[in-house]
Amino acid sequence: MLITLTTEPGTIGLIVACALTILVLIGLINRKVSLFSQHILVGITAGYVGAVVWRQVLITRLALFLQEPAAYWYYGVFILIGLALFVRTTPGISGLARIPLILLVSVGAGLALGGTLSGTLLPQTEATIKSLSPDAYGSGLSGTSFALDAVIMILCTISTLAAFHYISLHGRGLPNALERISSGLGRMGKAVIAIVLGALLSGALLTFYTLLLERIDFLTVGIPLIIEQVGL
Amino acid sequence: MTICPFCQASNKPGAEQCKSCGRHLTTMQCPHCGATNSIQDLYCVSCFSLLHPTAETEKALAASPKVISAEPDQTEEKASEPELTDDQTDKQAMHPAAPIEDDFAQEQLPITSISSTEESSWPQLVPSPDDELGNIDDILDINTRTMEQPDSSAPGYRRPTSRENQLARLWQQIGIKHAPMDEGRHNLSESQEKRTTPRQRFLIYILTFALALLPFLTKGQITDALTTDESASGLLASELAIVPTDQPVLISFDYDASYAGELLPVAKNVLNTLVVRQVPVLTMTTRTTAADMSALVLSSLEADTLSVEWTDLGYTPGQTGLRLLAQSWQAAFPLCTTESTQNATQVSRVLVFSDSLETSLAWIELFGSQVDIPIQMVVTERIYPLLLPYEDSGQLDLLVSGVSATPDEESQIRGSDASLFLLVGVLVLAIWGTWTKSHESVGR
Repeated sequence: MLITLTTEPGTIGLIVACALTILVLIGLINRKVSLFSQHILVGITAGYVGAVVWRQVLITRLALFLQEPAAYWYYGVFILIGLALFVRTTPGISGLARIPLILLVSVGAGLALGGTLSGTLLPQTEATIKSLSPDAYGSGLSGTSFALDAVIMILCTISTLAAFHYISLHGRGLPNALERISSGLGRMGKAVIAIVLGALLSGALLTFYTLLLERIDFLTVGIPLIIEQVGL
Repeated sequence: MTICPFCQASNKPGAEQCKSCGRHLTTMQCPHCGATNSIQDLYCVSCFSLLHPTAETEKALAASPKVISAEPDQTEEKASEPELTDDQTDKQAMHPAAPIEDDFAQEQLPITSISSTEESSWPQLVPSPDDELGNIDDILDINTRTMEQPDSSAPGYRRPTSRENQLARLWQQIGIKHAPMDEGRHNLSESQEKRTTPRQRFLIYILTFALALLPFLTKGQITDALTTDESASGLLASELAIVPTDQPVLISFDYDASYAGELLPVAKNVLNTLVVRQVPVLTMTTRTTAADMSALVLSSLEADTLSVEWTDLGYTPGQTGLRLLAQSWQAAFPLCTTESTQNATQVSRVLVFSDSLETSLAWIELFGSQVDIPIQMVVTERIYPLLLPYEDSGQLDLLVSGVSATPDEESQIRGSDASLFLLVGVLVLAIWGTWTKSHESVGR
């Protein structure tokens, strides 16, 4: 049987994609087989990332700096700082490589800390401060259900925080009562955490199952298309 | 010739089992813990109890005056046994059950002689009278006055005697018992013993594949009958229907190709709707591996993409890029000269397709907290529960998962299929795990 291979990039790409998909799926049974496709994935990803960063980040800033050095002088400084990473293995001046690393870590930590405070901690704390009165959400059954939802949310939040309470207050009277309340809430909080972790695990499994189904869907469509275009 | 220590029958040299009683001639089981020991071992390698009965040991030791006693009257009995060499006598005395031909001690590499100074630095064992170990000093005669003194005329290294080999082996057993090392560890941990075999793993994979193929075989009929959840895709469609056409929509493709199976159908549906409605579209990414994802999606649309104003802003680096984007559009995308993108506030909304929690949080914390623009997210089911609090707090205008928002016409596979067969898969694995556990308990 004469097989006529077309030179269309789409067909070649489809063949390569199907072959690599099959290799990865075979890897579920024999892992050594899928190592080939994994190496291809890692290599192509590294090269692709390098090309994107060079084309869309480095070369654009460098071009601006070269065209108008007075206006974009800071890009030149940043590029010099970035070049300092290359002297990391050079004896004598390897200390210069610490400058970009320190900048990266400090700027990253500052951004993360500021963003967490202004974007997560304060808004999320504010969101948990809700009224427990049904009148605040409207009349009738709807208002009652919203109020019940607020009660559950506040209770889960407090109990989850109590689950991380490890300090024991020894004594009688009020400290002992607080200790018992905190211990009971902590047990409830651990149950809430377990439920959340279960939901996360099921979500992850659902995502991976969807990806597996999509790949099989791709093969069921792609393989007949290849056979049709190749002329088998 | 090897003498069986149990029935005294004569066997061929090197025989592993006695031809008369059938017992092992080279190994024996500990009477206390059942561990397998060499016939030469005096103590069990596992529980360190005395392997040979005390009465027999004492009887054997009594027959060997050189080992257990240094009294001169018993040395005369030794002279009456001229057919045995010194080493053979030692071996027979220490291990009456050991075959004389097994000259393991002579095959060892030479070690330095044990000086009295080195011996005094060893840890001292003081067994109690009830200790099953017995009195080690009495049996092995760890005493400097009975140790062989090194020959001063000999070189620094000499071949150790059998008694020294026995002593070294005993101390090795003590070391293994009290300071176990990897090479001396005989008991596997419980987790290692319960690892699944390759055949069991193969069975799991086959079941997984069978479950994955089942939706194709049934063509979704089972799931259509059991599940009717269309809320997420319907919610997304209603949101897209009210997008104003005079302001651009910023769409960020922040997912890798590996998660395209879940997010690509939703992205195609969203962009197709926007293009049909003639909504200006700006696309960007904060992930290097998703730089060309927008072009890939637009090129696969059924609608006429040439009739819509579409600008690809490109890549901006992660957290820093989003912070810059919230302050100055020009700083985030230096080469972008489109008039409609001079100010981020001109964008009517931001739609993010994300598979990463870090990227999603960066959008909320670094961009959403600085700019008053509604952010809508389509994320993978994997991170969907973690972002729900941000939707409840109002920081996200809309949050849907790719599994639940996948339109029916894009693929035969829908989220309901995956949900149902994930449930079936979990049930199968649970039954399999229960069966395996009960099988193990029966086996024990």
